[in-house]
Amino acid sequence: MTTSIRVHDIVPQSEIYGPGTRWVLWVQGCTMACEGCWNTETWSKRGGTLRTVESLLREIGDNGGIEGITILGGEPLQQAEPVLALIEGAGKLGFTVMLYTGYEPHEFDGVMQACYDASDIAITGRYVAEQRDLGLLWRGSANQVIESPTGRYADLEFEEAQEVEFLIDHETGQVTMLGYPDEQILSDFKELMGNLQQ
Amino acid sequence: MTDIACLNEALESSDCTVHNTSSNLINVTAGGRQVTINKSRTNGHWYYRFEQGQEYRMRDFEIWFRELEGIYANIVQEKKRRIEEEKQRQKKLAKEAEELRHQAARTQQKLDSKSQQKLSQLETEMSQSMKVLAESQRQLDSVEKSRMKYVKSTEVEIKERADEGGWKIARDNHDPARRVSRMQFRRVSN
Repeated sequence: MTTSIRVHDIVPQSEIYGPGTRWVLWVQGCTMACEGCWNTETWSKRGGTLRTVESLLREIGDNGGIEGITILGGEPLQQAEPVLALIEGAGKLGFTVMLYTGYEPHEFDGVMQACYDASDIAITGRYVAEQRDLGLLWRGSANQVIESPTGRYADLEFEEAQEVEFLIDHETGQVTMLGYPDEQILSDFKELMGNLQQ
Repeated sequence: MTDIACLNEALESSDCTVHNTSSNLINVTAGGRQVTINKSRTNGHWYYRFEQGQEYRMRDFEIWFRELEGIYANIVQEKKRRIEEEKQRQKKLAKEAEELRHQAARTQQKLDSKSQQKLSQLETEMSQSMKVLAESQRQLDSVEKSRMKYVKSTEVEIKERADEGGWKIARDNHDPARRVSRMQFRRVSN
């Protein structure tokens, strides 16, 4: 069984991908190539960093102040075995799990299904550019579905809204923008941060 | 990069030619391009611009600029390390001087001339060390001040621009312990 995940990036605390404050992991590698995908740099299976599930769980356990974890990508279910170990491990530590996948449930194999079943919230379905809707909470296109496979968030009430989050690292000065920005705030952000295109 | 002294040090260590500098502009040739690096009037960080369609031509400069940012970060870390080292050295000197004084007190005798000389030398070194530490701390405080000014100004600017775009702030978390600011904005469609 594979025990390492190819990781594109990690944000230790974010409030934009799911309920409450969450540790967020973008896996590296996706062959779906959805037209209009915003995260094309996560497509290659060669990039990123290999991290053991054990070390990721240690990092999650040491985080403090999070409600759960969110796994997105890349395509998490193209690394289903180690992702399942991460989901189950985070659950044992008492954290909720939110999983993004471009697959739809009818496409799942056994391990993918296990990942889905063990997740407290799952967003399923490819990003479809023609159905792009920035006004949806946690989703980029209208075909994507929110479900609570474990039932833990079955009663969650939420209002559809467009959300963006800015993180400023006081140490490095790096500013990161997450979520679902429109062209205007994206361009404002680029202008603010300077060394980008006019 | 927000501190001009550290930036100048970084430029000296990097592979570039500095043509002229002022408090707001640095003209530099690096990565085969002559480019002006500007200090942002908004939040005080140093950046450069290039026109759309110039990405390929600016690639080597971009790589050089990222390296410069890495050198800058190392310089700041080095200043912190030197302060810690100087503090440790001071502790050691103080301990040695204290031991000599205790020795004299225990034996109720004046220190011999060799020990007296040693004590005097230690006191001089401690005094010099205090000056070095004060100067290093002053430099680091300046870096920290410019960095926090940058963080605050950037927070304000992001909020203003978000507000202009019809975004409402949903969460505003400035966490000094984690050294991170997190601002979440929402916009509900009609």
